[in-house]
Amino acid sequence: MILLWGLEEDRTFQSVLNVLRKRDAEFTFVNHASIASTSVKFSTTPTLSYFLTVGDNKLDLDSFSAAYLRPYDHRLYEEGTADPRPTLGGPDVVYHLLMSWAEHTKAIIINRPSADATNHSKLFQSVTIRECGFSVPESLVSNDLVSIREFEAKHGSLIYKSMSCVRSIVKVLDTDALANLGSFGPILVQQRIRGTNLRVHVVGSSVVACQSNSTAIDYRYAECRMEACELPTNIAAQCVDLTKRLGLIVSGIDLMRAEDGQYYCLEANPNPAFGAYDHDGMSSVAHLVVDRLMESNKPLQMTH
Amino acid sequence: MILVVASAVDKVAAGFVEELSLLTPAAVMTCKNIALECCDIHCPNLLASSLTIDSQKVWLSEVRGVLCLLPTVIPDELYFYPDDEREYQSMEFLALLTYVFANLPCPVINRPTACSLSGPFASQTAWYHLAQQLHISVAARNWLSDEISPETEKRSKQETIESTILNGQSIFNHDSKADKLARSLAISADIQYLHASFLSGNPYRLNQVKTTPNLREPQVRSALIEALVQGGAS
Repeated sequence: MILLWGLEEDRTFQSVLNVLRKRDAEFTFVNHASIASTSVKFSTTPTLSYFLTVGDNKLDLDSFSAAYLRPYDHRLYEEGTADPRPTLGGPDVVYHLLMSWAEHTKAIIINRPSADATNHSKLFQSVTIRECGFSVPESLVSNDLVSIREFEAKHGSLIYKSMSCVRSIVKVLDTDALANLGSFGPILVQQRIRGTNLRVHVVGSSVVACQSNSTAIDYRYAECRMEACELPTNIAAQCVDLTKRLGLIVSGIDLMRAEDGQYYCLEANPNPAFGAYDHDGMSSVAHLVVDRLMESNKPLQMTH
Repeated sequence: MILVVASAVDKVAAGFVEELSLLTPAAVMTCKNIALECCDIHCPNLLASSLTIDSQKVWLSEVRGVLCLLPTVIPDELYFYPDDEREYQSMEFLALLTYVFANLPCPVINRPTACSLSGPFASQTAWYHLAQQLHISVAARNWLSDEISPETEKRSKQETIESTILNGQSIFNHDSKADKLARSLAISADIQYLHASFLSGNPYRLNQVKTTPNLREPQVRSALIEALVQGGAS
């Protein structure tokens, strides 16, 4: 039995759900939007165990052989929570306990929380990216305009984006506009790499690459078409290696093929929205994800 | 220079640094220093980075040890930012501190990981799982997301035995059995500082693990000072 936890309206989640249905796979769907009416029990005796209750169904989480998790900020779905006491329970604890199970279970988890966390700091993750042999753009976190101008003089042009996993629109830095702010907090600026954006989805040792035809700084927010592309063998191998080193089963790796042909790795997304890159309508990444989820299926144990 | 990473309102940390400063240059570093004083953090060349603490420039290449007292960065820590920015900024500061202190080559107590600024785990359940792997018994706990069970509260009133481990050694040497179990947890988790409490009985059962040092305890302070001055962390 496979556990799916996410939002049905999420295109990526939906693509996995559709493939599972087509294959008549046994799965339990837990709607993230119903987190306020979901509960989890954790017990340490006789051994550590987790039970998930959704409606009238009480499920032993250890009876799941695999899980695909795409949680969102649960606070957006807390309306209707019976008990508003924030410290003693509710969606926050459901989330915490489910993540705890996902971290420690023997089931196949896409992806484990500790592996997911490697993307909470882009610079922290970049250390592992470099260890895999990728070039990474040089970065500076600073609140000092003089340092940022020196960094700009060295690299010609800079972009800025968030340091954390909070999504931000990548933009070209305008240091004059920054100067007009007066004082500002530490920001992440990065050497701008000019070239072609590639998105590489890795599932285990399988690699599906596509490239953007957009010249926009952040192609995700521009009109663009994604086309399938081939990666050099060594780059594909580095993507697989990076995914493995980060502890991930599935990743969405952002590469930039610079004008001189060099490949830079910008980051590895541990919860990639591969539904948005389904350029051929074949849901190829979703199929690979389901292949992985179905690797060790076992029957569900129901308790009441 | 030894850096003690702490909350801006942590007076105990400030007192600890005063004590430490008698032996070696040391400073409390807060998120406020990073936000409001000049900071330049480079990647990948981390050792070319610098911070400013109370108007004094500190090169990260000159930092000889770090004591991290913040397990995470909470939005309230960034009280100098407008309310609506604090949550986003707390994620940004956490990301920055994780990168810096996970990668500094000097001793860091505790070295951050992707999961926590204070070691490998952010939750008690993770310690229970590690204990189970190590065949250490775990105290009875029933956590329901809807409530905390009365049984848990009753059991938590039982006698507890405590052990504090720093760099693989017990600080107090109160109870050799507890020390052995706590040391085993610390080594398996690859963590420098750990305080574990066990419920009495046969066998001892793991009750709770804390990874932020209690600086109000004189022996803990002395052990940390010795470790930081001698560069005893890893």
